[in-house]
Amino acid sequence: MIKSSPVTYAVVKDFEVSSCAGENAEALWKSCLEKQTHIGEDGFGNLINKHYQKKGDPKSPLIHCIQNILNNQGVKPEDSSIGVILATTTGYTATWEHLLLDYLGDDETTETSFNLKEVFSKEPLGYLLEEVKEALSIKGPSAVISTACSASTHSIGLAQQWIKLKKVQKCLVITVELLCLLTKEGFNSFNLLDKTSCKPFDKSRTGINLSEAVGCIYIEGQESIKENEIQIAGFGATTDIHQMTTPDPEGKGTALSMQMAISSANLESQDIDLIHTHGTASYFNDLAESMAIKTIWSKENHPPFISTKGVHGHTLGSSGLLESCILFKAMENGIIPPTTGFNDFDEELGVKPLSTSIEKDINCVLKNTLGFGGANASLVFKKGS
Amino acid sequence: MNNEPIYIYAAGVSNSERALKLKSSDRSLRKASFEMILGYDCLKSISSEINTLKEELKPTEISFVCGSSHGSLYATKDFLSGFAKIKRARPFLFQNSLHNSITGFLCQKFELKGPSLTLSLGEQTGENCIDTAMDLLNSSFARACVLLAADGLVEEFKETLQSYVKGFDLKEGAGALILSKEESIGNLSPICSISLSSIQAEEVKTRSPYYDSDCIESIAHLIEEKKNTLVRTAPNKTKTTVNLTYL
Repeated sequence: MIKSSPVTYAVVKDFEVSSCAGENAEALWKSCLEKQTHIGEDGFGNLINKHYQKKGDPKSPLIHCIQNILNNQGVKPEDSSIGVILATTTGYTATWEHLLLDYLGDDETTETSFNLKEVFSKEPLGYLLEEVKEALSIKGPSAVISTACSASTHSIGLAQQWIKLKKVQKCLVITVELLCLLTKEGFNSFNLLDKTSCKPFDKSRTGINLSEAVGCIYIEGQESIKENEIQIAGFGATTDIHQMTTPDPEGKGTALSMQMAISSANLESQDIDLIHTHGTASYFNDLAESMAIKTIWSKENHPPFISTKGVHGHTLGSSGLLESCILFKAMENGIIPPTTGFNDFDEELGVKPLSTSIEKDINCVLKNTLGFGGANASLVFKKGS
Repeated sequence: MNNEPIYIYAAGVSNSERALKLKSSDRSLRKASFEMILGYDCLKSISSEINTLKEELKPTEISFVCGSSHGSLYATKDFLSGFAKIKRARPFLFQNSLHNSITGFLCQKFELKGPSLTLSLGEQTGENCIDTAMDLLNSSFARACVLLAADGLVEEFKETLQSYVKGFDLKEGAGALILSKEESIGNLSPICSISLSSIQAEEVKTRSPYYDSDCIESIAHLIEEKKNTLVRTAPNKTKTTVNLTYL
C-alpha cells in the first residue's frame, strides 16, 4: 500500500510591521479601527520606527524587525531549514539615487567616481538580502521578489510553496519600502498622487498616497492545524497583458488570480468572509477590482470588502504583507475594520466597501494585490477550527 | 521533495549586438529599455516553443520567471539624467525603471497571462530563477515555466565598473529556458533533463564572460555545445553545479 505523505500546512506563527501608522501591527490595527489617517500634509506617509535613523537606509529597521520575531519565537536563524524571502521594489534606492543624480548631472570627478562604486554595490536588490542574511547568520534558501506592488503577496505565496515542498521547515517573509525620488516623482508624472488622504472606491477618488513600511511574517510548516491558528491556504497569480501601468479595466486578470487562490485553498467563493482589496484609490485600480468582485460573486451578493490604504497609504511592494497583518488582526479579534476615506458610492463601480467596522467571526479571508507590469497576486488565509 | 525529472524544452540567448540591431529596426521597441530588448530578442528565439505551450496548456499553467540583478538600469540612468536636467520625471522612464518592467513588457509581447515572478538575487539571479521555476513545477503550481534572465551594462558606467573587478570582462546579455516536468507538450519533446545543486565553496574562481544573471545564458550555450556540466561560483562563494542529461 502506498503511504501518502501528510499534508503540510503553512502556518503564520508571528508577524510584525512598522508603518506611518506606528511602530507595530497593534498601532496599525488600532488606527484602522479608529479610521485615523497617518498621511502627512504632503500626501505621503513616513515610517515610524525607532531603528530608522538614517534616512533612506532600510537595513537597520528591517534587521530589528526580523530579530524581534526570531527572539519571540526562540528560533535560531543559522538553522538551514529557515528560508527567507525579501519583497521590495526600491531596496536601497533612496540611498544611491542622489549619488547617481549628482554624477549624471555633473562632470565626473574622483569623488563621484568613488560614489559610483557605492551606487553599484547597492543598486541590485539582492544586496539588501545579502546584508540581512549576513547580519542574522541566516543560512537557508533565499529569494528576492520584485513584482512591483504585488511583491510581498507573491513572496508569501512562494513561502507557502516552499513549506508545502518541505524545501524549508520555517520561512521568514520580509519586506521594506522607503520613499525615494524615483517613486515620488515617477508616480507624480502619472498624476496618480493624491495630496490629501486617499479615498478608496469613492466617487471622488483622485489617487494614491505613497508611504513606507518594514515588516516580517514568520511561517512554519505543520502537519496539523490548531484552533484559531492562521494558515496560508491558497495562492493565485496572473498577469494582465493590458498596459504597463494600468490594469485591465474589466478586471479579468485580477479576477482569475482571486479565483486561483480560492480554488487552490479547496474553497468555494461563498466561503470567503472578507476581501481585503488592493484598493489604492486610483481610478483604474478600484474599477478593475470592482469588476472582478462582480465577476466572481455578483453586484448584490458579495462578501464585505475593504481597503485600509486611507490609514497607512500605499506601501508598494510591502502592501501585501502589511495588509495581511491587518487581516490576521481582524481574524484574531473577530472584527472587520472599515474603509477609511470612503464616503460616496460610485455608480460606475456598482459595489461599495464596508465603511463602518463590524463584529463577525472571520474564518476565510482573501488578500488581493495588483502591480505595475500587470502583476496580480492573491492569497487566502484560513483560520483553524 | 519531488524527485521526478525536470526537462528543458528550449533554450535561447541574446547579446548586445543582436539587441542593438533589433532596437534600430523594430519601431515597436522604441520605448523599451535595452534590457527589455535583450529579453525580447531572447524569447523571440524560442517563440515557436512558447506558442506551443500556449496552444497546449491553460494560460494559468504557464509561469514566467524573469530575473535581473540590476533591472532596467539603462532606464533608471535615463530617468535620472532627464530629471537632473529638466527637474521633471518622464512617465515611461519611471515605469521602465522598476525591476518588474522587463517581466511586464515581455508578458505583453508574448501574451503570457499566467503567474509571473520577477527575481533579483545579485550574482545568483540566474540560478535563483531556475531554482524557483523548479519549485513552481514541483509544487504543481505550474506545468511549464518560461525563464528569462537579462542584465545590461550601461555604456557610461562601463569603464568605472570594470575598474572595480579584476580577472574578467564585464558583459551584458540574456538567456532563456523553458522547463517542464511533462514528458511531451504537444509536438514538443524535451532536449535534456536538468538538475541543480549548491554548496559553499572555499574560493571564487575567475569567470568570463560575466554579468550577474549569466547562468541561464551559460546553460543555453552548454546545450548548443551538447555539454553536460556547468559549475559557477558566485562572489559570495555559493558554488552551483548544473547537470544536464540529454535524452
